[in-house]
Amino acid sequence: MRRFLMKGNDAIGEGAILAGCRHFFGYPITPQSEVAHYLAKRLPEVGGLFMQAESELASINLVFGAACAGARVMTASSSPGVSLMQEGLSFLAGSELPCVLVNIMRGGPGLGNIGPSQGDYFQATRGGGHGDYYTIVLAPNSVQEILDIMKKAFDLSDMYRMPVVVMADGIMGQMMEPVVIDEEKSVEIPPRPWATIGRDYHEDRNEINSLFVVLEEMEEVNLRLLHKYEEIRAKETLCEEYMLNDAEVALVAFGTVSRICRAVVDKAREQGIRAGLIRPITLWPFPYDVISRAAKSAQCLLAVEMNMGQMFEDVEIGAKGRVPVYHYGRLGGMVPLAKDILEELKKVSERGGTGR
Amino acid sequence: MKTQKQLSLFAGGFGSGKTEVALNYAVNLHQKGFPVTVVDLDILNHYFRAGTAKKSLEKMGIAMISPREELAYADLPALSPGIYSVLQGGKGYGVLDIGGDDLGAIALSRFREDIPEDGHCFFLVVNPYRPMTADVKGIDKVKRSIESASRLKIHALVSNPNLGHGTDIETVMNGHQIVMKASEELGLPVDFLSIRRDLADLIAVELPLLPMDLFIKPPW
Repeated sequence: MRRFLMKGNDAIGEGAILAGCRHFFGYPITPQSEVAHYLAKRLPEVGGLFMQAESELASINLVFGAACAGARVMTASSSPGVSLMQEGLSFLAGSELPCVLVNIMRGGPGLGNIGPSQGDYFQATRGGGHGDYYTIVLAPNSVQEILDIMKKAFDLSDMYRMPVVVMADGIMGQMMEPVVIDEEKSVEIPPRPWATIGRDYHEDRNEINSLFVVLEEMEEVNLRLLHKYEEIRAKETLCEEYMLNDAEVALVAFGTVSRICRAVVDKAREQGIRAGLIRPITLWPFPYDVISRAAKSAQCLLAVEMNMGQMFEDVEIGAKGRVPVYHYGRLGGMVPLAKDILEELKKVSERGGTGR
Repeated sequence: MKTQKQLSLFAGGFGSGKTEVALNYAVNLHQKGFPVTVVDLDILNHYFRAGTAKKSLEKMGIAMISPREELAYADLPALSPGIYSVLQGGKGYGVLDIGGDDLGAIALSRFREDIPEDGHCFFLVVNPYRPMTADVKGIDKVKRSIESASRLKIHALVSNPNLGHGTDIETVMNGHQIVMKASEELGLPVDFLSIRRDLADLIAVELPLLPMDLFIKPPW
């Protein structure tokens, strides 16, 4: 066990290395660039391959190739770059290939800015690219959790043979916190009998493909994916609860904002308001059951995000109309302040009715 | 602090704590009665940088030169022309916060001809709890790459051992040993040890201490 002071973006890189990832293809973009910077230094030290591609399109297709060949492989980008990767991501999902995509979100839409944002929630949790698919989406909220969640991301992607997205924002990527690293821990990467590595290694020819011209065959693939997604919904949902049991107002927040909201809950409690916090760690699958339970005990729910109300819609689905769901957001790369969230919390705890 | 020149340059690996050290160093000079100007030369990190602390510094009466506010998030390596007046000594003592690694130090190289040979001290801030500078080899590598990018020689180390909010006195002592070892093997003096203010009274070293108050904090 060794302790280090790490940046979120370093932790993505080191977490991937600790998870046995030895292949990275990517293209720099603020506020993600340190992931590439870190791995460019570290991967050669552990016998891995770092490649800066000529674009995000090339990056994701190199990921596709390496995944076909059975590598534990990843890429990382930020919002506009992740948009460019969506076609490749759909192909990876359709071909049932494991890989990890990290999105360090920034202000948008369009080129936007380099400020922190959570504006890619819809894109990530609803598949992102074309066609009928999901990716697992993980949203860590500390540097230690980033480090640990990378291993989980690779394991899940192998277990279900699908892309896993790790979502954070510029603050998570740039902030520094102490971490504990267990360098002795060994990694087991599951065998890949499906990999396309040549007839020398397999009896039969392996094929990886997402083109199915016979409609029935395509539907069969879709149904297989559907069953996989149902299994993931049942088994892999992760959520943290804080002071929720007796909460009158339950805040719902992920990533950076959940750190601020935790401080808000403490402040509200000091002032005699019974507040609690629901922090989804998997954004897909979303912890609807926790929301649903809170909607039975709390008087209202308040989704706090760095967007105009995206996770808010999932909170509404989970609440099933039992209690009002409110939204508070800062946009354009701005971060909500604890005092402003507390103000909003006081407002909604006094107010009935519906909507934002 | 052992050395006090007209210009103090603070470089280091990414996340070594250069910015906090530079800001606290400037406050220390200011409290001793010297006129000080801080220059934010970080062209890489747009999040937790010196410019963020501009208002708090100005309240204390310390001037800061940083990219114009509307350009702070433009992702452009824009530097203020006001930097020259600091380098030429027109603003009293100058404290320069330089971006991380060789990439950040490149910005300094363009000012090389304007930095007076005898009038500056180039400090390498070292936090041995950062993965890339966790041993002498790593510290040497960062030192060489920064010297080559900036085309300037590093004169002294600043020992800044910390684990952020997880720092205790033992963390500081253990980490400081690594910096002392690097000092010996690389033949570079350690100019001072920077340490969180509440821990400063608990430590005994034969070095000047820079008690630190943190300027840049997360939003919670």
